[in-house]
Amino acid sequence: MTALGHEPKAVAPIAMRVRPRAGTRRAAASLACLGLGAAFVLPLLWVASLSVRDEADILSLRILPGSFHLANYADAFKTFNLGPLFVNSILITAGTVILSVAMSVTAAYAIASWRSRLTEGLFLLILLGLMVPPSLVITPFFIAMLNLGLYNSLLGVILAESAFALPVGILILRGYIDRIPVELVGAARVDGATSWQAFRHVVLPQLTPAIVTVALFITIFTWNDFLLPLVLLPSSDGSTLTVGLATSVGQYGQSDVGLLAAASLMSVLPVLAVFMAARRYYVLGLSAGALKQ
Amino acid sequence: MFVSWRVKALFVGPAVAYFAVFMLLPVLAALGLAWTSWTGFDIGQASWTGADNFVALVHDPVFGKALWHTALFVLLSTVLLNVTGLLVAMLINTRARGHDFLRVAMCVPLALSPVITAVLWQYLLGPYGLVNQLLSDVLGITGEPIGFLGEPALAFATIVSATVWQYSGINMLLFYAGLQSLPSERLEAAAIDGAGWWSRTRFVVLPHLRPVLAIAVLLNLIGGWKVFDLVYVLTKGGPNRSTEMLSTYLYEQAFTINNVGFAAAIGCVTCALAIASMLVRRPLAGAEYA
Repeated sequence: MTALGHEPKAVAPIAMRVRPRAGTRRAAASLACLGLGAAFVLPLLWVASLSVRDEADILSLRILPGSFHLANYADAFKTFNLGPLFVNSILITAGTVILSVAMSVTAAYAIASWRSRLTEGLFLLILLGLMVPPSLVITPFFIAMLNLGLYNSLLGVILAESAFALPVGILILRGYIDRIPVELVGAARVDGATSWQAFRHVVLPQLTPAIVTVALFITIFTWNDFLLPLVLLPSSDGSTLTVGLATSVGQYGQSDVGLLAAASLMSVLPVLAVFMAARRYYVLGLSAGALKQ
Repeated sequence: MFVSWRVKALFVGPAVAYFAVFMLLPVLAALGLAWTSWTGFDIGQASWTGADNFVALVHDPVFGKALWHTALFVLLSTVLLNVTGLLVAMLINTRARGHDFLRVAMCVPLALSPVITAVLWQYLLGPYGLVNQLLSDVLGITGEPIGFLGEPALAFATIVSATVWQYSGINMLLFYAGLQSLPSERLEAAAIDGAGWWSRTRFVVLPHLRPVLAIAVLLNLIGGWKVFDLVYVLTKGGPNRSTEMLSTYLYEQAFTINNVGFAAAIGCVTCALAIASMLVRRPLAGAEYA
């Protein structure tokens, strides 16, 4: 392997003289990194390559696209009626993020700062919500929304999604609030601030990274969720992107491969962009929520 | 500092009330429905049937299959997610060139919905998919395209592989964070004492990662019992129920056959298994972290 020549550091030759195998091992590790990384993006790249092919090119069994048919994207948007689906996905995601963040930030603050058996008990009870499989409660949700007149409405889906988002928000935010010094709040109270003012002007500004983290988790979770909108918002022209795509796979999966590939990529792009832009907050949430438990 | 109970109630009240109405109540309703026979239209027609649904579960061969498949899926995916996540985290931790690319690439699937994952894998493995083209046209190994989703064992393996592809990024991120908190002096000391790569991994790295492993396994187990979207879109439980899971069987019973009470009983079993998974944490984390 001649990859040794790529070692950039001046120290490399010395290291090689001392331990002749270290350089080879590093090159092998680099190769493994690149190969594995490629394997992880391969399915996405393959579908991207399908999304720009015309019909003959898809049947041609070529590895690389022989055509560059961008019209697939416009056609897919029209065929699958993606406009309303995008609007619904955006509204449901935004509504769920706002509702569940507002509720979890105040609750997490109360639970973290007023330690008592009651708040600890409430915290553990709410965490049990993380264990509940959506399939267990989907039938009661369905019946309740039907009776409340919220079946097949965006609000019904938002209310159901928020029930699953709330425990995630409280778990992550509580872990974060634990690290804010209590003295700050005490000082504000001594200076005559009410509980709400202390929360609003002292605690909340420090919570921005944690709130971004929670919003990121809930955005990914809600945008991608399938079972709740499938049951609670079944109308064919008015569901979410995820449900619309899943339905289209059954109808067009084998015939309109190029169109469906283009539609899939379009539905992925917004949430992938958000995720990539805020990736470091995702790591923060994993460590605050999972490691500090 | 004195805070009146009314202020506390204002802060914590909305979330608790919401949780009670939209999570606790539905869970209790599902627990109750499991003891009834009901077709889901008029609640007045629901009738108490005692433990009949649970007795029927025991005698239902399809439920037996769904339970076995889900348990096997949970076991296989948890093992593979942790092995993959740990090995890749250690590879990334070597800081070899390309480690940043690998870390980002492995995180990309985390942003996707399982529905999209199903679409991607269907096009990767389908008759016109990349894998079949490579196998038949480029390498000339197989004459006809392999029907990955038509063969029971292959369909099951595809579902496990797609799950590992999608979620091993979480395990990698957790293990990588754990590795970074390992003081390098400990590894150097072990190396000076003559410990090779395997001994350092076995006696320094792995013990350090035990609490992280416990959390990662717990997340994988809880997520695993809930698996639905990927299976529903990729195979719908087929072929011939070979990939039927608890959740897909529940969906069929509740919304295709309107057998609501029976479906609720399946849900109770799933939920009990998810909660029972919490028991693995303490032994995995080790005594000093309990």
